[in-house]
Amino acid sequence: MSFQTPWAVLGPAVPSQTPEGIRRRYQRSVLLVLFLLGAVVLASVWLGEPAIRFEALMSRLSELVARKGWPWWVPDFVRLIVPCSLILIFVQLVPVFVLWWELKVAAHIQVRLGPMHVGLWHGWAQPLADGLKLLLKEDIVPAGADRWVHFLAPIVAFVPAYVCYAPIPFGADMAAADLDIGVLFVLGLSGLTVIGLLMAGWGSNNKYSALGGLRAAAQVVSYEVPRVISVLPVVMWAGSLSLSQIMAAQSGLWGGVIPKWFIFYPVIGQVSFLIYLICAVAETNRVPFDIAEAESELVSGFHTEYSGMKFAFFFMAEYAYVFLGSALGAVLFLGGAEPLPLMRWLPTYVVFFGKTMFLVFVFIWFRWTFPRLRVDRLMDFCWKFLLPWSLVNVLLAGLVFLVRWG
Amino acid sequence: MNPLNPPAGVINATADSILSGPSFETKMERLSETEMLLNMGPQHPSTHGVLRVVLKLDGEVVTGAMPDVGYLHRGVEKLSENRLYPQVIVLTDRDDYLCAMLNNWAYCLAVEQLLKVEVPARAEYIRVLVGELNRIASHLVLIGTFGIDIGAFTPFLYAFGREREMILDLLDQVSGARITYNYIRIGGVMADLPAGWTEKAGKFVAHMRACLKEYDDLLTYNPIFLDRTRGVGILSKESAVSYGVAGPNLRASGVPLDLRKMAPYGVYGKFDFEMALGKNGDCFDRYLVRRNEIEQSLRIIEQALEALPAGDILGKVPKANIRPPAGEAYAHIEGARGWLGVYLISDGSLQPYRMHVRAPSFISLAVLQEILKGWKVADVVAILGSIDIVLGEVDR
Amino acid sequence: MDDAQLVERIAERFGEAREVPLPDPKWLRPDAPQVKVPAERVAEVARYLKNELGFDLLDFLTAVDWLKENRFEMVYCFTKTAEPKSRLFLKADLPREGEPGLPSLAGLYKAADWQEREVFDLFGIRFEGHPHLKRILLWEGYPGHPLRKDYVHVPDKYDNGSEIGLPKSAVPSGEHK
Repeated sequence: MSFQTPWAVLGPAVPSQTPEGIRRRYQRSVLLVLFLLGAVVLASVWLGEPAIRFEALMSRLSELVARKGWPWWVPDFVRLIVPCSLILIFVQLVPVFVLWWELKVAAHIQVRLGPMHVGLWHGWAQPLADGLKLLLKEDIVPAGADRWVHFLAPIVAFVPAYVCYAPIPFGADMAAADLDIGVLFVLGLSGLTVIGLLMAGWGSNNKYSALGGLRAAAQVVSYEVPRVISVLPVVMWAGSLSLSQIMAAQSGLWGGVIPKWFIFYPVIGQVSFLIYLICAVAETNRVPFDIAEAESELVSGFHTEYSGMKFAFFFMAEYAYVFLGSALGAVLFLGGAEPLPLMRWLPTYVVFFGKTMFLVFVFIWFRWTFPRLRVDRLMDFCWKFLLPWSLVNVLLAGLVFLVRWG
Repeated sequence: MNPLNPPAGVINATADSILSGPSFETKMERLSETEMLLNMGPQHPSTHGVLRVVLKLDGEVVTGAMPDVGYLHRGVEKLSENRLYPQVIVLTDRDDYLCAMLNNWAYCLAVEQLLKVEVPARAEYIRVLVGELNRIASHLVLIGTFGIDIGAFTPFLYAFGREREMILDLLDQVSGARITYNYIRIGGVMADLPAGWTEKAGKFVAHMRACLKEYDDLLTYNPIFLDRTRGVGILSKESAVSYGVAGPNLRASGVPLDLRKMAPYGVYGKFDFEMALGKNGDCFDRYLVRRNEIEQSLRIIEQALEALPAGDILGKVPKANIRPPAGEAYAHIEGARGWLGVYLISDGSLQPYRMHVRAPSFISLAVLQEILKGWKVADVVAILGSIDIVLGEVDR
Repeated sequence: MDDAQLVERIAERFGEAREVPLPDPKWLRPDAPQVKVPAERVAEVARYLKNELGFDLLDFLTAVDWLKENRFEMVYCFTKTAEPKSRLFLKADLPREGEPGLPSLAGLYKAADWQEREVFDLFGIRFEGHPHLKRILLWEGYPGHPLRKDYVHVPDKYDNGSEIGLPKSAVPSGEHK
């Protein structure tokens, strides 16, 4: 079914709404988007690898420090503080961009246009305006709320989302902290957020919120299990928990044709990836697993009683996790920053973002296509379907690796 | 006392009346230790208006439910006793605002019974056309909002924002209004169809057929949707008949009862269509009956467009001072939500002596207190959505 | 069975049942038999209609206030799911004074549950044996029963806009008819 407005069928009421007008506008937009993408890619190619530039700057700083006789810790301090600041800024910007993307993708899935006015071009500034609105809104605390729990909940929910970005390799040598236990760190810390949701549900003194918080706790804790198990085959295959080493293990080609990404590993790779993807969606509490928010049932679940900036924290945490889940999926299964064979000229971080944004798109696609599962069916799905199959997958992976590498 | 800023005592009194108010206490036993009350509505995203349902929950499981209505009561029946006969049509628009055409029709049918006026053939066909279009629009709202209720947002924008919009455009061109049409008049209809309208309606029918396939892909055959609706909120045949929920809800329970087929009014006897029937009376059947009814309505529209005769659109009715002879009349038609009846008593004056509306939503809403028990909170909204109520009609 | 036979059968079974007389010879009426019974026997007759005559669907029930004749009239409309064309109106007279009441049909037809509550709410007619006879559309403590013909509106805070902060000019005078 093609895109058809009421006017397209019933005859034009507005000249710009004729099928030809719509097609022309779409063509123009697609061209513009392609042009912008090309410009970004060209600019990034011209800029080159940021890690190399950063190293060059650092060595010049070290020379400067040695020459001027500044304290010895200055270069180390800069090396520590700059990537952290960049990550902080980045994590702030991710929700803004992902939100805009979600608005637009959702709108086009639903035969509408989405934001079109703020920022003059396809509403690109809409998330900024939304953020500003949330900043200016009154912060309402319900009369019967547990004030401290209510206050702390958004922070507890949001901080792990920030910290989880530390070991993510955004490109070659682009992890803020290249931890040896990267996978464990991210999976472990992201599980902490559920405490924030539980606190929000409890502290709001609202039955809907309490139900939402409890649902969130049950769901996230359950889906954590198959998620971790689905990651195990990758770790076994790469022989390391470090994200950059897992990424490095996926460089090269199988038989000179297929990229050596784990998703292309026969059977095991695909099963792992599917289970990981399902669990990642469930971890972020999004449709079809959004029972904790469940707008039509629990109003908004755990964040019913939150407004203004506190609500924004929950919101940003959700989108930060969407991006994080996609980034982790890209690193573990899609080779992270490893480019496609003929695209070696692209800077590594562009490749990484391309893959991650594709997974983000999948998240959004799910959300605007599926209905919501019911609580008990959701748990059944986790414990009776995902968990057994992920265990079978790990066993199979162990056997295969044992036979191949003896 | 300023009601916008009541003193603390009043707030507490309200809270008390929610928990142990006189209307609640008698119907439900006291709470046990593991149960809690959940006050769903009147402000809630999926109560489809201002309905309040007080739920007794054990964890997520509903152990008792009591719908509370009346938030939208405007006293239509009392108001109509003080209006002239044609003025009451305006009030019936406001009863069930999702299919106002059918409301107009039921009322006009009752007045016509008293006046014994002959409705011209063209007017009858136009009534069928706009009535069936309005029925489709109403069912589209159900399909869309039912999707939202169980978490699928996109079908809503397809059904509500695209196809229903086309119907509203068509009805707008006919009547000049999008929701409250006031189009069907005593003895006929307000105006003839504008030029080119029938072609547009024909185009719409073809478009709608294609769209039904799209809904099937998104909802009807979606495994999650089936999982959420099949076997949920079963309304048995006996129960449905006992509650008097004549209409799509009854047909979903497997009782073949359709006034258009079994007691045809207007020119319905001349059309060839089938009765959409369900089997189990669960949420899925109630949804499917509506979906299939859209198909049948499209068939009726096609036939009516083909057979549309020329001629007058208004029977011999006085221009002013409609004064039906004394007597009583009862007209009921197959509304979008069930039998829509108007019981009218005239004392020979200019105003009705008494008008009673048999509101299908009101009657099917009573079913809730029985079929909600034992289901989860998530199913409550699914069941509520599948019963398809309009609070304007429930409260009148 | 045609209409006359139907009425005859009911009259045979219940001695007091009879066809509703026309208030005046020109009175119009729907094309269905109408039976009048004493108010206290309504439930029995309904049971007979449901179990033995096959009227399994209570279409609607309501009341009419005949102020001049000083009576309420309960109107029940029964029909059959298998044959919706055949209908039967059951009527019963009630006095207007005191607390008029009659047996409830809620045990027989669940449809009567809410509709009887509505009649109770708007007419003040009591239904004995109803499981939950409370107001349904109006709130508890509403003064009077609005569908009675002698109902007089008691001015409340909404007539006088000052209570909810409206200027005097925005409030209708309340003298229109």
